[in-house]
Amino acid sequence: MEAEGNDFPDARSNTPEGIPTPRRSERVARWALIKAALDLDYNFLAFPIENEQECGYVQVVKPELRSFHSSLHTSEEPAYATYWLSGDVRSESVSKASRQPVNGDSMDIDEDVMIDDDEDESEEEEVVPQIKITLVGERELEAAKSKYLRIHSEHIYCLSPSPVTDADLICGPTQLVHKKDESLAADAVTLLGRIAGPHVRRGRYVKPATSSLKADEPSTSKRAQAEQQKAERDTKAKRDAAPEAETRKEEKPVTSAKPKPTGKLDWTKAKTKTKVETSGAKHEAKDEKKRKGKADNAAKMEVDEEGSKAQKTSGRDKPSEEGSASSVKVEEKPGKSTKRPTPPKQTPSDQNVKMQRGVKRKSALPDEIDSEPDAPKSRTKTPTPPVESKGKAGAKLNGKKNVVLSDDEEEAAPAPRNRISKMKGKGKAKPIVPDFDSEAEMSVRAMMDIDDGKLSRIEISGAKFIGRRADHVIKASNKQERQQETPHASEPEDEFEPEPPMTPAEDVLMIDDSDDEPVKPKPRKRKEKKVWPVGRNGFRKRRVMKSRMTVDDKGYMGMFIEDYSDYESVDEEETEAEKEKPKARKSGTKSRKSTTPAEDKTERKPLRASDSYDTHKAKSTSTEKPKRAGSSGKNPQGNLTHFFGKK
Amino acid sequence: MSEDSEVPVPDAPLTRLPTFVLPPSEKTPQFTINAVNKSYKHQYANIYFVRLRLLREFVEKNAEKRWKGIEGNPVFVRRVLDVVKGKLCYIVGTVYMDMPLKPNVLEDIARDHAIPVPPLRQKYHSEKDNTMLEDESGRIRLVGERMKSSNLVTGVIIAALGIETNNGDFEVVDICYAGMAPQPGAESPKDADESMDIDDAASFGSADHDEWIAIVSGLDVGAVSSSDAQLQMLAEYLTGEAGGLDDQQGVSRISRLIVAGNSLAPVVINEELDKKSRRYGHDNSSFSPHPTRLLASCLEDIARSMAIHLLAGATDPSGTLLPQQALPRAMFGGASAYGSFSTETNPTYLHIGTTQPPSSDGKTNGNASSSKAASSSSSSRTPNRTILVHSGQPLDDMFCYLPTPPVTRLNIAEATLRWRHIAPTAPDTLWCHPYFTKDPFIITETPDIYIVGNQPAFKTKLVTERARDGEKERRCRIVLVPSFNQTGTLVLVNLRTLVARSVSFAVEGMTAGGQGS
Repeated sequence: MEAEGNDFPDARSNTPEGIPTPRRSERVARWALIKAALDLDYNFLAFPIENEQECGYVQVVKPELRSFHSSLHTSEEPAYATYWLSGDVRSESVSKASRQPVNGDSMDIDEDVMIDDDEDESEEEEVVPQIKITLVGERELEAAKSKYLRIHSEHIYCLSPSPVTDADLICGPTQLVHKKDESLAADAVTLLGRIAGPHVRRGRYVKPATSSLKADEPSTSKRAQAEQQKAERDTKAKRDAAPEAETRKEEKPVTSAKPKPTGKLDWTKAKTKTKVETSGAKHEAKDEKKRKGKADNAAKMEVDEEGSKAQKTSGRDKPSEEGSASSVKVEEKPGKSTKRPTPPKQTPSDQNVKMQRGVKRKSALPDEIDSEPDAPKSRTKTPTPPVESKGKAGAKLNGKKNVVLSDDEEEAAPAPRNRISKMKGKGKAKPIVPDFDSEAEMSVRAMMDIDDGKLSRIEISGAKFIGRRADHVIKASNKQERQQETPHASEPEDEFEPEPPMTPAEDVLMIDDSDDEPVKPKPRKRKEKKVWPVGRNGFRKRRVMKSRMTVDDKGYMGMFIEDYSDYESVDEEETEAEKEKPKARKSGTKSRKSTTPAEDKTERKPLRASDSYDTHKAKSTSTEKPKRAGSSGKNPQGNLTHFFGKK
Repeated sequence: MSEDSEVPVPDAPLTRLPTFVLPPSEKTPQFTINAVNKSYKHQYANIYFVRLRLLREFVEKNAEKRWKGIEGNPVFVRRVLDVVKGKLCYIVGTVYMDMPLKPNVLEDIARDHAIPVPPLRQKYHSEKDNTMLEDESGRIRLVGERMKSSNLVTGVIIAALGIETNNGDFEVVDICYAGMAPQPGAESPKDADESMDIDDAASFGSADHDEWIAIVSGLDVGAVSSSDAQLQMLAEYLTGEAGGLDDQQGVSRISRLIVAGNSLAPVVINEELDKKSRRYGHDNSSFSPHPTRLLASCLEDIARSMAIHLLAGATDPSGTLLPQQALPRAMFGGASAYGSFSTETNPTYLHIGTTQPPSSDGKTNGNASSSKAASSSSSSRTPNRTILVHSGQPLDDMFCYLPTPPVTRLNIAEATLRWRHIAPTAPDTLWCHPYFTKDPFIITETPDIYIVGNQPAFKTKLVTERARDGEKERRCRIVLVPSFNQTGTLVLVNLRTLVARSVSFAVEGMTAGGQGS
């Protein structure tokens, strides 16, 4: 046998394309290597993996190992071979073998099912050709061969000094091979006999992307939207300021004097405005709302899968079946396509507005759901800025809906179609035209809302209903709080819905979050505790604030409070008297400390006397108020501290 | 015969046929949940609303075609609660299976936590089950003989033809589904016949010149009864190291490997050990990184010679909610250095073609050799294929709803295509992400190959839907891939003809984990 194996020609035989054929000297050396590996290094010799680096091309060396193995039959130290068999087998045998779950009780049912399925599936299941690859010891080789219909290949897989009883032992040298492989170049893979393709490459994985690859949001994160909106609100305001500057020239002083949006309504300013100003503000509010509406629509479109884009353009002409998609917004209804505005007509400012999707809009219900008029609307988590939440009839309706759970009122509510038209009217020139995508989404939301509405009406005791009730309670309490905070703003409160409508998609916890947000600025107003100097008598010193009447450059007389940043010791009697004062001030709208009534009059004079008095100045005075209030507020606190300190 | 001639040597080093991952089509959904849309605040009811909203249209259309002009002139009633007694009509809605044995979250909440959790039932099906059809208006119970053979699960959108009974139930005469979704790349019936003619002739070997893909699932590396030997055989077979020339020529046609979940065995937590103090976050005595390393080295072996797509599965260290997100590439050591190794979501759509797509800058991806091969392979007759793969959880869950033997897993997989939904039982009994405005499990395009991993046995079927109204015939090859650890089976699918084959790895005369012999 060995002699046959040694009869390899020295020159390359039939491998013209660079597959190396071993020379005689090489073969002898390798045999020695294999022998040494068997005897010394390892109990196991896996072939070809173990020594493929030394042995070269896999297919060339396989017969060499066979020759080596046959040569050992005559020797005293035989090696036991494990064979690799591959070939076609009968489908039944393989399928039965593949159906036998080996371990795990969890598969019992499936096993039963499989057995039961045999009869049924024989009709429908395809019988496909089966290839079986078996590792078998040389003793069982013939028995294994008999199971094959046709054998594709048979070669020695590995040699071992004893018969292999545990198949996992074959994997022993694998780690060594891996280490060796790591040291090899990537191109060496093919030289060793592995089959590699040109599409297999090292480097970073690059995910193929379409040119129109869209954001694949399965759900719209409102928080993310709110963050995005917050971030872009400032930029938008800047951008919008330029085109709107001309139209709002008269309002400019008002808008320029606007404080930064703190999330709180300042209704006192709205009261002091003149008619022109208020109308201007309303106009602005409408503009804002209009923009917001656009932004909502645009954002909805953006947030949705961009796959809808294709359907927007092509879906109209296509049969409806072709236009299916997994997103709601993608759905379109043929026949309404004329309403949809064409995207190219959008101005750059509109595009900017597009990105500003923040709060959910009240959705307009389509005709389908006319019979369910008062569906609760989506509700946002983000606090709406004061201007944005200004008066809309629809919003008012929702506001009522969110608070009152009356069936009569729900029935009395206008039909959705009316609401759409109303919105159109309110929205002036460019109302929120319900394009198809947004409308589809609205209808879905409306479906959800209707369901919830029904639930509340029929009073099913379910978690959803409970949550809804809780929501109403929360809403009502929040509203009361708001009214307390701004007592003279109750009228606008009714008219302007400060919170967008609610969807059933949001639970009570979310609503709590959203309601908390406007209140957030409140704790910031707390004054830092100051260390007050204490006099000899043990009482805290009083801060010296002196007022003085002066005439400024323009000839106006005004009172200025001067802070000397000094402290005077006070008597105990004085402190008692002071203790009463701040309370009285607190109840009043103005808190002034050391001003006499006469001085007060003189101070107010310029404000009342001249109608042309600049509102800006008025505001500047109003901005001083909190400061004074704050400064006056320190005294009671100090006294209170003293009260406790004394004990 | 000379011994040397038994293992013939190829004339030239074999080269694997290349295929390339194409950009996803606009209609097929993506299952990636990124930071923007990772929101858990939405109610699950949205999914049902969206599903009904999207599929109602197709079901209505099909129902109209099917029942138009039949005796009794059935009318379509838009809302299930508007059904008139004694009048033949059909309604469309979402199926809800009221099953006493089905897990109920309210029961979970009300459960006494002092009592250990009862084991999950293998079957929810019982004689007391009721089938409801519901829409936004309400629900109605479906009864009748037809319902006994309907084999429905919760979440399926159907149309039911029947009459309301005096009890207020709806006696069903017939049922209609949405039908298979459009298939953009579908061949015309004539072409299909031509391609099917050579199916039998297209053997997996030297005579075959088509591209194939290999699918394996349930490697279960690290299991108590591991199948390391079979795993090594698999790696050597796919890389072309083992086997004869026939085998190697066949293997060279396999362009990529899809690992459909459950690559790692579930971690068994020993509570007693768990209570012990841990050092560096894990207990060395109970935790071993060996399975991950073993899997990584095996994948690296294969990744050197072919492209790999790895999906997460139920037992993999990934999230429980569907869609499961892709496993981190860094887990897989050297394999992650290959650009042709990619981890995918579960489920996922793969678009495979023989022509390399241009990159965003207009150039072709890869090096010169790959582009050269791409140009050479452009002569391939294999069309671009869409492959839908998931790791089997949806099918396993649906299997619990239905009585067996009449229903088989292959039936269910086929039904999902006709229902146009991969996982209708989500979110009822199958946990899934709380989507708000979409239901990505809806099948918007019928895939060419539909692969379901981790099934007890290998099954396959070519599902076709007759061409109608001039549309092309829709064909889909369903492949149920068994767990490799249990069966040692690798599945091969011809990308051109959609013919399937199986390769099983076994050992004889020696003990082995997994299947054994």
